[in-house]
Amino acid sequence: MTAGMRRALWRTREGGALRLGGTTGAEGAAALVLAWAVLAPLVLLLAGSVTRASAWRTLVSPAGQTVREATLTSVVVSVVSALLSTALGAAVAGWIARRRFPMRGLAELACLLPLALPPIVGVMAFLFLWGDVGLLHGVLRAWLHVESFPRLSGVLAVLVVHVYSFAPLAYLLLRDAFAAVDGELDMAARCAGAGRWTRARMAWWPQLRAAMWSAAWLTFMSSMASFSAPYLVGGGARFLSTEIVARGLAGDHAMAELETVVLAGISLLLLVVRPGVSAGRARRGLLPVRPRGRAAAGHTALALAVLLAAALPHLTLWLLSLVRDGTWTSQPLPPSFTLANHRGLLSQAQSLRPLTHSALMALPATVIGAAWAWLVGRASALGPVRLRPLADLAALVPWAVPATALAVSWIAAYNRPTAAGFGLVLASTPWLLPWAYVLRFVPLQIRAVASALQSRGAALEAVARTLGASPWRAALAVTLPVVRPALLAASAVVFVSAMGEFVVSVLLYVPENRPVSLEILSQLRVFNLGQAAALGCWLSLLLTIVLAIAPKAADPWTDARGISVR
Amino acid sequence: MSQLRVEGLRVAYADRTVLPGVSLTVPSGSCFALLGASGGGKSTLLLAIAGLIPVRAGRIFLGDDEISRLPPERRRVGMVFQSYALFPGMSALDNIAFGARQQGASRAQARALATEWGQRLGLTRALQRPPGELSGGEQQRVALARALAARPRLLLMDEPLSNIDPALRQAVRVQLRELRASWGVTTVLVTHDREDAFWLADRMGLLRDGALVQTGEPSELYRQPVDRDAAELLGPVSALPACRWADGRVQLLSASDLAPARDSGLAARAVSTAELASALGAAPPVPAGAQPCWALLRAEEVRFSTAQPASAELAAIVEAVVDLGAGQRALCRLADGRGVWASQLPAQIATNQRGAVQLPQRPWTVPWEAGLRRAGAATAEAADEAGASP
Repeated sequence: MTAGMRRALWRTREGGALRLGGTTGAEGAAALVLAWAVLAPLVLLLAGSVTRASAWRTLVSPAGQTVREATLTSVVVSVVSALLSTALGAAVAGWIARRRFPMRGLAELACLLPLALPPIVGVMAFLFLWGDVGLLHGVLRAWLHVESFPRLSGVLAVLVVHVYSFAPLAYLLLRDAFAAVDGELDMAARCAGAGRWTRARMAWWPQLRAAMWSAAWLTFMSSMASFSAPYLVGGGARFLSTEIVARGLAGDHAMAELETVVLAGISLLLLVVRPGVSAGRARRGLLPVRPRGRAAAGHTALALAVLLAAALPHLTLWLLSLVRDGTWTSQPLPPSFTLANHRGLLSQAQSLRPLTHSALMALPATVIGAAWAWLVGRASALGPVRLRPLADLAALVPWAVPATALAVSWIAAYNRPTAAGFGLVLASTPWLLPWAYVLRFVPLQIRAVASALQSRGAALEAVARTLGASPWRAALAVTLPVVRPALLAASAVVFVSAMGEFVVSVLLYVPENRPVSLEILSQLRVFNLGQAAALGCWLSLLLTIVLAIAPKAADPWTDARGISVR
Repeated sequence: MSQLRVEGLRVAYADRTVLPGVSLTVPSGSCFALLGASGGGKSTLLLAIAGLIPVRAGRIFLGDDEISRLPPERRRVGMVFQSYALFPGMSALDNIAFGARQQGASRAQARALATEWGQRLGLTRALQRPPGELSGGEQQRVALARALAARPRLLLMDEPLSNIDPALRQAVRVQLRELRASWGVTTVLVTHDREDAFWLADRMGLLRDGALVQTGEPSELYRQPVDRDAAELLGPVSALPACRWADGRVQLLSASDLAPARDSGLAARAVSTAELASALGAAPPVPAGAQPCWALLRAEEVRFSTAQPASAELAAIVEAVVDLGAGQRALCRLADGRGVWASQLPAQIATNQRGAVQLPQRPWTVPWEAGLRRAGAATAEAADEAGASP
């Protein structure tokens, strides 16, 4: 398809009457329903708070001190988390992209390890690794022969967990950006006599700036939405996400809603200024540097160190799961090991029930999300321009607005028959949580579909139509196979995310569908640490297996040799 | 085989009209090449004919059947995209068989037909491979076979050779030309490469701002372009200010002929007569009975010799010599600064050589306004004066 033809098809979509693929029918309806399901509860919540003037007066009164404090802490911690995560992600991405050294693959693996830990499990592992009574704390105390050791807790602990959890996200974004850096610019600067810093400033930075900004934005939003870390290791520090839940549980719904509006408002404000990442393609990639001798050994040692640091929470989790509850008290290392926690978990059906609950909710949510995403993704990529912003917004808002805020808005919408909740009363029923999983994670699947279709989906369907295929036949026979790998990969991530979901679950679960993340929290509360860790281990293992066997979201336009066929 | 007839086709987007009302007839079985600058509406015209974008007005006929209101899948119009748009999940064979399958053929029938087309296009060894493992030329032929295997009444090709490297491109042109004789399908080819058009088309059309400004046989468009931009689209040309009498005589205008214009103050900025004339826009004064015009000279029409010039105006000095492999081309600078490209050259020629240029007796001319550059079509005027490119 020529640039002219792409322009022509694009303008036609602007005109709103594209004949390709039947995107004005079911796809449009699917996008509208999703937009309503996501946006209407938020609008309802916002409208309710805006009209409640007393709540806003509270915000500026002395009684609102806690809200102001929580807002400030959340914003400051998020800014610092974003800066640190982006800096670390960029450093590691640049290091891995530029250097070729033995065991480089281990460094790449290390960057992905944090993603295999569900939020609650990850924070739990951190707690028993770096916390007051953590493994590392004990070992260092014994090793250095000191009674007390500086403790990592409160805001600092939250920051460390955030950087561990979010730096991989920044790394993934920046890895692609480094791969797209045009090496010819660097070569041109070098030929012109530019030094390393000038080249970095003139040739690299302009190409990486958008991705860096995107990574910072993504990590800031993730940090604002973070719940598990402030909840478990935040100490006395107030964060908006935890304050909302605390207020809700205390029955102060008006203030909880107000805090939700503040949290959602900050996120939506940043959504407006979100950066766009241009999908540039390198004419010629950066030439890799191959360190030799001691330098190569140094890089390998660094890779092993990074791997160890990333794997420590995993190892702690497994170690903890092998300790009989109550036997590991003040010793630096567990005195004995047992498989009793794992045996107990696997032999008792009741112990596995939360895992079953999570699977029974995550699986349908994934399947329904995939079907829905197929339609909305097509509307976003191929639909008329009037539909596109709606589809894009519906796909973006659940990802950008913190889950706590979304959950509170869904409680309000589905608590009584409202138009925002399609007239359904789902609150306090087992149905709201899986529905929330669908709405929360479907953006990932929509992005996968839309991205796969945007480059050439219209051309493929146009050809299929000229060859006699009906709109639906063209969509199913031609573009679905193109989208399938990316959609399956995204669906695997959705399944994994839903299985380990904690933030929405803690607000929306009922006893009949108590998910595994809540079970882990319950076990932690009654100090059944071994059982909590065992459950976390199996959950993490299951998620790792799913991610490992899921198809890679390969570029459909790249052949088996990795050569672009665009 | 069917004749394509387009009547008053109008395509408008939300913000502007792209095709204000194109009419076009392509005789049955012939190949019509559409040329034009980017953004001129060529691709839009193809998409509209294929039914892939809606039209505001106008009618499209294939033979006696009006297809304007039919959905794309019922028009029987095949399309080959520049990117080929091969279905990535299918082998080359299944790509070619796709159209037959949509028309109700069984899998075996469709594959047999696809195999036959694959053999005709020399794809036998590539049929089982996925698109990603095919070379550019093979991908192009698979896309063509896929379109033809669906037995279209009309074939539309959008810059089908632009993704092929130059070494292979000529071979594909030859093969397409041979195949065209056998497939016999009415074809519309969009290209910005004049060589593709010359090799493949029976007739050509120049589309500019959504309007067909000239149609005709390739040699007609090359020799008798409607204006200077059309001439340059089909090959390098030297444009010189001139005047033309009713009996066909043409006289070049020298710098002194444009002297009144120099008085306007532009002379200080102008470096050549052509630049000055273009900058002025208004026609220069010419002898009574003559009309101001531009002489458009192809390099092959201009001779440079080392002999004494017949007149002072035609005395020239060789400023540059370009070896094109098959021959040479020289930029000859006339005494008043005008540049003319010549390819009829003496055996021994070098830069700074003095001699004379000899122009055709009756060079092709276009009216004064048609020789002025349109806004946005300009290149560097100094380079233009020199003939822009060899």
